[in-house]
Amino acid sequence: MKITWNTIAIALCCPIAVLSMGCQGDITGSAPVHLNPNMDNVAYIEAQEPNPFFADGRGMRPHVEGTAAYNGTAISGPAKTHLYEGKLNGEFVAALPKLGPSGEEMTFGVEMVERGQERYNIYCAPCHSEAGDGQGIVIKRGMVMPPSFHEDRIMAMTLGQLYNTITYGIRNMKGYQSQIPVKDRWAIATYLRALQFSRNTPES
Amino acid sequence: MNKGVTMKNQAQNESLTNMDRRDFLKTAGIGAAAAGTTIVAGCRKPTQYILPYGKRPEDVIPGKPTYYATGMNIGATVEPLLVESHDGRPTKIEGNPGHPLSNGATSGWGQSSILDLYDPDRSRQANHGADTKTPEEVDAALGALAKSFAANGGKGLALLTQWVPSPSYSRALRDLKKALPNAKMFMHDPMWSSSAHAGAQMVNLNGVSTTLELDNAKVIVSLDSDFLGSEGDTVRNTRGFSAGRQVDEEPEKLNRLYTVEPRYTLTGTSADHRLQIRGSQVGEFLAELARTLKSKGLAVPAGAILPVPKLDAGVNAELAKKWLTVLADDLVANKGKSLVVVGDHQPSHVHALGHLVNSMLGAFGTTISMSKGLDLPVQGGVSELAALLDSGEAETVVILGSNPVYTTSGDLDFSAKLAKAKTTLHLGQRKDETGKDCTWHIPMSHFLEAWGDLQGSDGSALIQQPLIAPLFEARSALEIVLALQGYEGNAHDYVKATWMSATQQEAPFLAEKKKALENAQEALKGAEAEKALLGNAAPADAEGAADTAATSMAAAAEKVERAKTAVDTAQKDLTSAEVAAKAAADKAAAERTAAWGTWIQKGIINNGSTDTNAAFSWDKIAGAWASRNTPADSGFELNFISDYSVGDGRFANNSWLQEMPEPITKITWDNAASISKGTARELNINTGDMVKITSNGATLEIAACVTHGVAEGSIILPLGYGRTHGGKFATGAGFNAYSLMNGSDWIQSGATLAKSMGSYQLAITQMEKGDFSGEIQTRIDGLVRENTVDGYKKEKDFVKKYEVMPKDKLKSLFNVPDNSEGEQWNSVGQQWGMTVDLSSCNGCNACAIACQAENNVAVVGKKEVANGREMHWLRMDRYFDGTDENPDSAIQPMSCSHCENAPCETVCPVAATAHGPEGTNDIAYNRCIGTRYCANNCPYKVRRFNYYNFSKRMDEDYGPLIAMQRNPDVTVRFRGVIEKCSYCVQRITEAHIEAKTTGDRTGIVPDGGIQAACSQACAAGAITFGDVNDPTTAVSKKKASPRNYAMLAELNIHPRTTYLARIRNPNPALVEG
Repeated sequence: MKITWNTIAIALCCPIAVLSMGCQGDITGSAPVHLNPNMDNVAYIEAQEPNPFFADGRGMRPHVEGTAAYNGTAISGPAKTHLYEGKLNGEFVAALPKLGPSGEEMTFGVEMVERGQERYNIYCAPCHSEAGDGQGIVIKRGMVMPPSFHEDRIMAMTLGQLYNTITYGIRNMKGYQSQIPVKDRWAIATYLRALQFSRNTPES
Repeated sequence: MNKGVTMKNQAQNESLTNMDRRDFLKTAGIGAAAAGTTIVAGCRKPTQYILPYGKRPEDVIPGKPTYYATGMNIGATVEPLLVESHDGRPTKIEGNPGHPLSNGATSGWGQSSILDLYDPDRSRQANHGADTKTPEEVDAALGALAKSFAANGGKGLALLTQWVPSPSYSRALRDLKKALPNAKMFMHDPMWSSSAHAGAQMVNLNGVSTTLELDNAKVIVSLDSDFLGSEGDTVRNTRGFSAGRQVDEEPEKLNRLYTVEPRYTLTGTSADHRLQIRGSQVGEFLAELARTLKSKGLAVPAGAILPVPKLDAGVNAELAKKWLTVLADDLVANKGKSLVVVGDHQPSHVHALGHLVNSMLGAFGTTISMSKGLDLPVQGGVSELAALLDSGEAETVVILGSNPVYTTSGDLDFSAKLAKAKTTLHLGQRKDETGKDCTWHIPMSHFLEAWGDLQGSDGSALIQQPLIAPLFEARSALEIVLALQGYEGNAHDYVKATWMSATQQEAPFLAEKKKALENAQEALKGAEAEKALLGNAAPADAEGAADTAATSMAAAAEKVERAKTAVDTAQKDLTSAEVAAKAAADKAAAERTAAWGTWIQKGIINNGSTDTNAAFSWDKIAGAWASRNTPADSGFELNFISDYSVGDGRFANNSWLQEMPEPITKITWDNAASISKGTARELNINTGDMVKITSNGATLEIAACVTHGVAEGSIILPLGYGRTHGGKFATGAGFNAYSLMNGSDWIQSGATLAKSMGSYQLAITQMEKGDFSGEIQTRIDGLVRENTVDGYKKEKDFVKKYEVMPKDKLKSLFNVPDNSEGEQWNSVGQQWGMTVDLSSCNGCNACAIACQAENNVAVVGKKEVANGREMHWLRMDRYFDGTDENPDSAIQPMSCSHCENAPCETVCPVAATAHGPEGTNDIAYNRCIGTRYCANNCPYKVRRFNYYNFSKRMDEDYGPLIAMQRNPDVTVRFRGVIEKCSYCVQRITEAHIEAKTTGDRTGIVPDGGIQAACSQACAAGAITFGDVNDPTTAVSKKKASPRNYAMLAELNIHPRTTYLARIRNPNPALVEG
């Protein structure tokens, strides 16, 4: 057989075609091929990994009831719902909570408001805008507009309700509990108050 | 070879030869395809699932560790801990920086106790005979026991517990005693010194716990004590002692340590002077010292008669004589700033005399503080329990955590005694020697799984909080004691109740008012009695007399009225005071309730209180000394010690500890009888030879180890090995020295030693001269540099004289910065470096275990250690010097030094090891192809190679448990890869991230914002880690010391880890020549 460039080309193309056909767009139930293990999966348990040792199969274990982490905010009793949910006996609170088992007071300070501003501009401003009027960059791209913080309805909300909304979300807004630590959520709530005050300062 | 296989191979060969070319290709093609498929199928990524939190708890960020304060105890030692928890799994133990007993440091035992939580041999279910029992069945059985005991007041119940210095546990036992008055309680714990306790009782030091205040001490005399290594509050002691060794920072505080001991302890390695005499002579030496002190003019307290010593210091007799005068002079000169410390294993009369000498030295209140101690309501030890079992009175024996069948002396034969009881219940982490002899075995929880509390020797208390729910169906000792008295509620509530009512003291003003009322009532009674007396005498004869009587009667009546009013007022006062007191008590209770959260969070309740009102009585000492046992004239003396690795056997199934070389002998996975060089020469014994030791009719065949620092005629026997039911790592390791023990004495005389048949392979990580004869090898001067404090003062830069190559001869092609000369790195950013202060380090191994725990360092097993393949990233090199009778030692921690000019990097063919931008010598594990060129080129020999899949072997041994312990921030290394100290690069990265998100967000880690695992664990503060590019950091300041030197600097490698030369403070009067 005479070897021509065509034959060579076909001979070269065939395997490539076969290989590419075999993979592209093919839906497979099995995991991807991983030829060199490379210590990619070793016997330790990373976050959110399963652990067959436990009956529920989870690698992440719940903390024992009644314990307190060394630098945690954990507290017990009714102060817990105040700190974590912004509620006391089912009612939204107006005051700042106490922090930590020793009951460290949180205060409206410049530092806290500044921290709140910084966090607000990262997490909230894209929708609510830095002015808090609900004209964030995302809204300009066509997303449904959130209410302005300067509405009477929101002006009338207690600090606890603002905090609770940040934590658990409302309507289209998702909860930020998992993204923003508890102290920062309170800081944002205090900053919201400052923001509201800035637009609604009495003239005198 | 198997016949079938052979036949098959032949058939294949035939078919291959008969095959034509086409068939062959067909077959081969199918085969290759099949093989390819298999390889591909086998090399897929494992299918993984994500299990996120449904509702995430506050304060928890998956993957970010949280810390919980808790505590543990080993015998009387309390270690306050801060435990790192990765997603609810405890992974690493650190010391609690807020507690005075820890100040952030831990012991090696504390570090390694995390592995005990994940011990694969922990019992998982309760057993009754051969049946397994569910927790409900155990509850029912305990309930039935409680019920039957409640009916007869606990008749026939004997309880054996370990020493647990816990206020709640003590309260629970007292409550049990109250509920079941006929029950008997005993305590057995080889890690709790009964002789020290008896000695304290002898001088009327009851209910008082003593703590060494070593940072106040100028002269410390250790008498067979290992207060820095294995006895008492080692962490606190080490910190206090090393505070007196800071020759650059605090030269005026420099202390001096003398040790008198029969073997090298870690305390001995830190000593300025060490006298080697037999264990039985240590007490006699103390008695001689007491007499010398008296003759030097120190007052002996009233009632004390100094005993008459019979010191026989053997070959060191001359030296001992010299010592006595010099030592006494030094002690007298530093009265009030000196103390003697008697070892846990010395008999009680020596401890009593120790207290007397300390009293003469004015140590109490200055170098020894006292606080209110804690007592368990027990009636004796294991021998009393054995007697009770013999008499048949103990029908039900409940053993809580203790393992008496193994940890009691051979002559007691506790196993046979235990068989006499009808019901025996064992609570233990493993079904050990005792567990298998008991009718019931209940799994015991680890301290990280249970609620409790602890009180340290200084009176400071802490709450033990659990880090994880019990992994198995386990209970704590406290829970069993509560179940036996039918307490309804859990351990948490009980512990909380202890502390909520703990400090309820009557207000002093209330007592005053009570007293006032009593006085008023007393007055009223007197007045009434007077009136009654007058009334009786009323029918008088004379008129005048009658008048007088009437007058006095009226006066008496008035007096009574007045007294009544006073009583009323006092009553009113008291009532109002009671109201006030109740309000105060309520307020205090509210405060305690509020404080409870803080107590748990910070891991400390109070700092302890000092109580110096001890009323000593010295009159019993002379009697105890007169009736002391005199050692036999001939034969060897046996010194039983708790092992540095496994303690009394309680840590025997901890593979990290088993593989950690014993600090002095460097033996791993075994114990051996340590004998002196003289004995070895006489009996022709080498290290590894089997010897036969006979004492009091008991015989033990054990491997011998020729060890420096063993007193002539002594045999050192570490306990804790030779387990029969200790778990897969403990069983079969070493020899059981308990079998030679007779009674409760830790020092026994009159033993015989003979060379036996055969030899035994000991896995020793560092040998002298590479042979087994134990000759002292002359130390290479340049490695460990040391000087006396006077020599150092005269010649500050003495370390330079060890330099082999002058600095200007060390030329590099490029400029290597070296800040010891004041040069700075030109590169931007932080440059990491470390110093190790050899003046402070005592070689306790805590750093080495901490490194192993932090960095997932694999355990390789005895055989591979013997092959020289241990994986420790941080090792302790120890060197001996001097003569057999009077040896000298030095210890040097050694890990990767992160050389600027690293020889390992230049030889790696695949650039798997290279310099990081911050000066760390990094390894890309998955780039390493295992040529081992780097290990061969490393002058420090700190690179370790995974010859086998050691981590996988651990996975097989531990099952899924070990994965829970491992640090998910550090790769678990595979076979064929080199590994070594990374300067805890994962911590550096984490600190950078932290610094980028908080503060001024420059990413610059502040000094002290990062600690390597080793430096964090070190109680002596010997290891300093930090940025060497910033002259203000602690590590830069240490490097600026004239003591700073680089090991093997002549190789021009510029190591980042440098050493600070050891400065000793010997007494000029004892220095020869």
